[in-house]
Amino acid sequence: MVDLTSIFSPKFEFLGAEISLLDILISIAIFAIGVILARVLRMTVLRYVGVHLPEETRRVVNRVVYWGIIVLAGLAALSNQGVDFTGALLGAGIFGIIIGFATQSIVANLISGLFMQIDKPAKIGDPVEIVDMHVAGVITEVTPFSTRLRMFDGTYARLPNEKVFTSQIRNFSRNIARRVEFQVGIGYKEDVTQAIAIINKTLYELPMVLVEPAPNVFVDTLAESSVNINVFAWVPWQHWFLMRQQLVERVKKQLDTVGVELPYPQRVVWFAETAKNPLKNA
Amino acid sequence: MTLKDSVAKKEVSEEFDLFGEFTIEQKLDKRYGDEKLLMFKTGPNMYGYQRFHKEQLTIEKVIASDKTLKLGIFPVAPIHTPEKVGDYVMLKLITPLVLEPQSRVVAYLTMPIEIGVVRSDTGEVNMIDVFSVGLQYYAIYGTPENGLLCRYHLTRISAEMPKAAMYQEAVVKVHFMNNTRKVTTVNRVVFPVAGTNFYVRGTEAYYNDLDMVVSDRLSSTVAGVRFSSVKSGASSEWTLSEALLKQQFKFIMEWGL
Repeated sequence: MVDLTSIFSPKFEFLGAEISLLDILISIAIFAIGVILARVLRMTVLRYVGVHLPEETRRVVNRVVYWGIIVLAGLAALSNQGVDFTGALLGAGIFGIIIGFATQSIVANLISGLFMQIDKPAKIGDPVEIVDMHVAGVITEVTPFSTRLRMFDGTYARLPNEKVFTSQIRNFSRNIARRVEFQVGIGYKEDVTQAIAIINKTLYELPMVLVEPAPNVFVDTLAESSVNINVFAWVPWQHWFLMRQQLVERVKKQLDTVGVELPYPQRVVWFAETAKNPLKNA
Repeated sequence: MTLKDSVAKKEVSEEFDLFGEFTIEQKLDKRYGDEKLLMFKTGPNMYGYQRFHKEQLTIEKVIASDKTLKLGIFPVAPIHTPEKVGDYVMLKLITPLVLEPQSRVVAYLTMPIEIGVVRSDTGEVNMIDVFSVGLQYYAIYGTPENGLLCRYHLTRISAEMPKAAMYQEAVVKVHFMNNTRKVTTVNRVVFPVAGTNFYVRGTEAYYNDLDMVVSDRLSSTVAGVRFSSVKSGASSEWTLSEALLKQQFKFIMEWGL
């Protein structure tokens, strides 16, 4: 009968370290278990968590889970061979600090990209305005380092994630409706009640002006040359731009039709001496 | 009933065009309110379709068909015009309905309809055109943050079957049930309408009966709206129009009644 211990136990020198065949087999087993575990965990995470994540995040999580476990399994297998990682870890730490300083902005972009996936201020396809950067457009892609936009004029913009994440983001499509707001100035001699009624009628003739929340038309200010009426109307967000154009045009036309004056800026001048007042002399 | 059985009955109304299925031999014209439809054969396997709004050409299509063209003109869910923005309808009661605790009442409402021109001879139902007679209104049920965009319709509540505006409204019978221990006021009925169909008779349209069950849920009062199991409204003289997709639903009104 063959004595297995005589085969597996004897140690021999390899790359300066004393190892046995048994140690090598155990290390291979540790690494193999690590690979299997990585695949199983990747599948589990993708099945139960991945379905709720956007495509980009799902891909990142997939890679991090799989390669993270593979690396850990590799380290465990090598450590079983008596490899001392203390020096390597110290070196890696120093190297990491140097690389960290050198790639500060890249890491910041990467971390910001991850935080954006968690915070979700906008998703691909959303029309947004990155207020601090004075940029507006539709998000076409979010990579680990940057956010890409198709701006409203059709040009392409690549924005670092760090800047996007720390900026104020205005999402035009997050809510189902937006409010169109504009002001109409009518002459002082005009009937305000009649003008408001005409504006309201114009609003209700457009199907995309929502009945609830109801439009709000009211006198805002008694300005120098006109009585200013504010017009607030809720519309589905997709129709905001078109409605903004149509409403102003239609209100103007309707007020013109009934002869409501929309005055130019004007100023009444009174002369100090009555004799020189042409109106009084007339 | 199938589309073939649903050829409109002329005895209902002689002066107005009816809902139903029509075969286009050479030329056919129909008028629904301000909308005039013109369907005509232009050549072998080729048909023309035109719609005029107040005599002004609004839409024009060419339809290819290797057999005699049959088009159905039926009421469809009121969510397509002027553009689809939601799947729901909100019937706002002009006079609110006050329900006693643990009570039930059956009442009729009207709801908006649109008219769809569908081609059904290909085996599946394809919408060629859809239009509304009259103005359309939309509203939010809930809040702009998390509400629903709904086709909005003002309706009176009546104990008897009301006369609906021709080509613009359908009648819907609602079984209101108040399962709470308090008096509840109902101001609106909200439910999804996408893909559902209507019963038709001549120029009239009738929707499926609905159940609206008011109940308490935690600290708020909600209402569940669904198709009623009682099909009392549409008798055998009504014909079920072709739907793009038949569906059952149950919708919980959680942002107020």
